[in-house]
Amino acid sequence: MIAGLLGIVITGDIFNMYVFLEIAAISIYALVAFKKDTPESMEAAIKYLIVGSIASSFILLGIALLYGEYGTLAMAQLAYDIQVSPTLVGNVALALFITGFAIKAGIVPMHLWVADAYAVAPTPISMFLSGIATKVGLYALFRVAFTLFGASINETAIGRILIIFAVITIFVGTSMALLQTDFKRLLAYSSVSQVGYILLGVGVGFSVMMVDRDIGIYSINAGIFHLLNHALFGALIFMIAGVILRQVGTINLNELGGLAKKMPVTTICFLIASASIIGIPPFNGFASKWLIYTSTAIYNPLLPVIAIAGSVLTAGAYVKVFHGAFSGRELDEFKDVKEATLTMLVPMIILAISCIVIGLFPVYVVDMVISPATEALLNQERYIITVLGLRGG
Amino acid sequence: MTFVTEFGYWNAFAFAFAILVSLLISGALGEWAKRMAPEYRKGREEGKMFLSGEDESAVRELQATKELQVSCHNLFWGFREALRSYYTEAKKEHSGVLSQYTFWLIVVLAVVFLIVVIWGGA
Amino acid sequence: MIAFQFVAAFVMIIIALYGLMFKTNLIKMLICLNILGSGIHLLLISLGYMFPVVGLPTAPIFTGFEEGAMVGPLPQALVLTAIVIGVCITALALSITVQVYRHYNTLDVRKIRRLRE
Repeated sequence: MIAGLLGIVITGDIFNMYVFLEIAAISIYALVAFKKDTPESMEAAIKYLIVGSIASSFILLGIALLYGEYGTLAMAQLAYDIQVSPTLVGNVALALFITGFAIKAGIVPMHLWVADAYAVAPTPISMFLSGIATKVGLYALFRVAFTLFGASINETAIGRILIIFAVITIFVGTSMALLQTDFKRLLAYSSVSQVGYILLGVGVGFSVMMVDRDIGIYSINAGIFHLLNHALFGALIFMIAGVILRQVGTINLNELGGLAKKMPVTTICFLIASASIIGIPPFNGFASKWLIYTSTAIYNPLLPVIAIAGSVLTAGAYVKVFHGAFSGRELDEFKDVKEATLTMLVPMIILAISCIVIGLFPVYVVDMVISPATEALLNQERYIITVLGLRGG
Repeated sequence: MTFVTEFGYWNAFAFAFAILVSLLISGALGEWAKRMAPEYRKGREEGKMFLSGEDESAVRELQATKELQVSCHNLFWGFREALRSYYTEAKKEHSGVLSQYTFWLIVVLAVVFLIVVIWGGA
Repeated sequence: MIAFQFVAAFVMIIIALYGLMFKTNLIKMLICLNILGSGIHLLLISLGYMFPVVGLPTAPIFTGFEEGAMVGPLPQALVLTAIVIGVCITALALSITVQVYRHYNTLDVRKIRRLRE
């Protein structure tokens, strides 16, 4: 699975991208179906499998159309050809790519599999899904949109599509999260809404790219920074859910209560993670969400309003979790619950500390990690020249 | 150290100072409020127990037994009540039927298709 | 004139999408998934055939042949890979379906809905 995911990121050939995507996807389907004794697990696996296979089919259809139109599969050559002679078929392929990767990333209204798969998969798999797999879907979407189609399409239109998706995703994700009583399902909907924030940053960047390149880069920086941060605190919070499931035996929030005294370290890690997700300073979620708010405010003042409203609803959802699971009287049925073992606590503490450190010193992270990534994503001309130059084209 | 953008800057120490000041101000406000209204709980309407999401009479009974645990479905009852029509629709969409999942995929494909082909340029 | 393979491929894709939207049996949905894959494979493989519109295919390792004398080797390699992936997906899906049937005693997707809201 890891090999597949890394392959998607480094490949320079769109068919290889498809193959790696499928390698990763097949292993994830099998891992979601890991607990084959529970009906929920099987149900989620078959739903994820069918939805994910349709997404892969869309992507393959897009690749077939591009091959038929331009007769090549190398990304650099394709980007060059599309720039020279954009055609209608290319646009149809772009629509297929956007939909396919959006399904992989779990964007509303294609998010229904996310809630199922995250909630029933074993905890490490949920962490992988939330922290890495959907991020790779998003990365592939951005890469195809920028590198392949960057110069030839109407960027404002594509940016608008992404922004509309992002706004719906934020709203539906957070409002559904508020309704849940299952810890992991709540986290799944919250993850959906965080993907919406990433998409919002990049979509706004896409829209203003033609008008003002600096603000575009700023806003895409914000989106990619949030992607990194969500990988951190998403993994942390799923870990906490897993610890509670293992130590207590249930993650139904209506039944839990009063765990703060039994599991103090877990509680502190939960507070840090949820503060990061909500976007409370000084944690890392604040830094990236602040960048997203400010960059979207330039484009349209309504967007940060929706984003902040989404954050408030997220805060509500996590207050619900904190109240339901950690605060309150110690319940009789959880008298024997113990704090998690050291091997569980150490990764949680490491992730929590990295949340705080990135939150305190975001400037280094943005300069050293995020900006080069954005540059690499945006610099279409240099990519084409580099790759084709080396091949003597 | 200082993270400068077009809108301002972010500095951890400046933030620590700001949060200290705001904590002091809020603490002082709370003290002041307590001193101004010492008897606000004595037997009047605001002193009675209210648990959202439950019947009022049921709460009275529960209160008598002193075994009341405020669980998480009591939270945000007002919010869910206010957005009841939205949540009814949302629940209908999250029905868990696989055909509905695929239906949405294809609807979204069609919409993106139309937008990209009509306004996508080229 | 549009070659009939293209028409056939898109007809297959549309049939598959229709089936995925409106069929409720899990096995039928999996069959539709396979039809969708086959349609795309047919489209891809017929692109390797000689079409004056697309440009005549070339084989990188063969030189000195007559233009249009052979079909493109690249789409065949692609389709072979895609077929293998499709077989993997189908095998996994069928095994999961067996487990689903064992737990729910039905294959109707309207009844397999323990996870909702």
